[in-house]
Amino acid sequence: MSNQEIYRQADNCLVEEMGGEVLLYNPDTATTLHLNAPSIIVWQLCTGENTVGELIEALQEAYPDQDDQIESDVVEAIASLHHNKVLIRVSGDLET
Amino acid sequence: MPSEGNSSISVTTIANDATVTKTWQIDMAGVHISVTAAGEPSVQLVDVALSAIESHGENIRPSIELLVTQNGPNWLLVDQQVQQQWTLTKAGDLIYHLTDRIVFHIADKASGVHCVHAAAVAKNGRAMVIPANSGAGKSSFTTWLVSQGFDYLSDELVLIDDSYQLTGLSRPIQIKKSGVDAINGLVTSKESFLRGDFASALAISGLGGAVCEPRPQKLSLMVFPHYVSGADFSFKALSSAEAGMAIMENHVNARSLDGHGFSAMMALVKGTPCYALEYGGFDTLPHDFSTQLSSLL
Repeated sequence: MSNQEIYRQADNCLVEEMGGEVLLYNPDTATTLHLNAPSIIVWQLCTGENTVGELIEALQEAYPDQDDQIESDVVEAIASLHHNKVLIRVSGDLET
Repeated sequence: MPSEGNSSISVTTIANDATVTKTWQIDMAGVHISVTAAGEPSVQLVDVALSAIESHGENIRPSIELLVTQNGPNWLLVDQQVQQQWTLTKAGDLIYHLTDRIVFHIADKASGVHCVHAAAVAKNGRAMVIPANSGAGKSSFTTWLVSQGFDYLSDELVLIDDSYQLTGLSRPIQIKKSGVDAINGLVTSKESFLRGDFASALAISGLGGAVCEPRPQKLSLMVFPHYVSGADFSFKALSSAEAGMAIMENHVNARSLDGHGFSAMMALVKGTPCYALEYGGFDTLPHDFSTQLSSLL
């Protein structure tokens, strides 16, 4: 995954916060995901405007004590959310 | 009249010189199904399969028609809707496939209710729903619960409306071949256990139990069972998120509902006690477990 890639949330996803945990439902695939804390933050930040590198930098500034871990957490979360089709990769006119 | 839970069935019998024919008309959640049996043995067998489903006196115009006849030593089941037929040699297998077709069509076409792949039992109008994938021990656990005095609702499909009232498809409990030994000791009337190669059908009377009154029951408890050979007993409360994941895995008509039923199911699990049960056999369950479950309803 390149740090220049940009992701946005898939359309029509439904989010339910349940006592500090989050479930995300994608009607297009009829799948439900149980998001852990890093995944929730990454999901919320993927608005289609920021690159992966910018997300990592923003989170490293917010959580300087976890600086070493953040890059791998973000990359792993985006890969998983993209694999489950709740994030769409935006690259020019191409969306996958 | 059909109940609020939209579960009903009516029956017509015609006898001519050669063949007795009987037709059952099922009406659940807006799905109209007719089942016609030709010949006395077929009529008797379908009677066993459908006897626990609520009946009413109204005729309906079915959109789905199922036929059961005898063909030599075999039973022939025809589903006109999908133009498929099954040739079956054993009574238990005929009951399994016939009721499986009914479950399929209701789950496929039901409107205005959530169809959940689950068993259910009840006491005093309060229901315990037992959602699980095939093979998790849902039917065996339900058999045990009925033997402990819970009233039977379904071993396969429950319909939940927006006010969390539920009805169930009360077919005979279907026990797969691998589960027969486990439940044999619970059966008090061997005649009520119709064997099949794939599944055997157990009438509720064979457990000394009762089928729920034909009225909607209030959903009060969800238990997600998981039978694991040799496992110790474990019964733990689930978080709402864990229960939400588990109920959505067993929600079978999401695509037919506004928002795929997601928000309604999340509200349901937030307001309902939900537990995960793991067990390795009925002998691993605590002696007061049925009392414990009753107190949670």
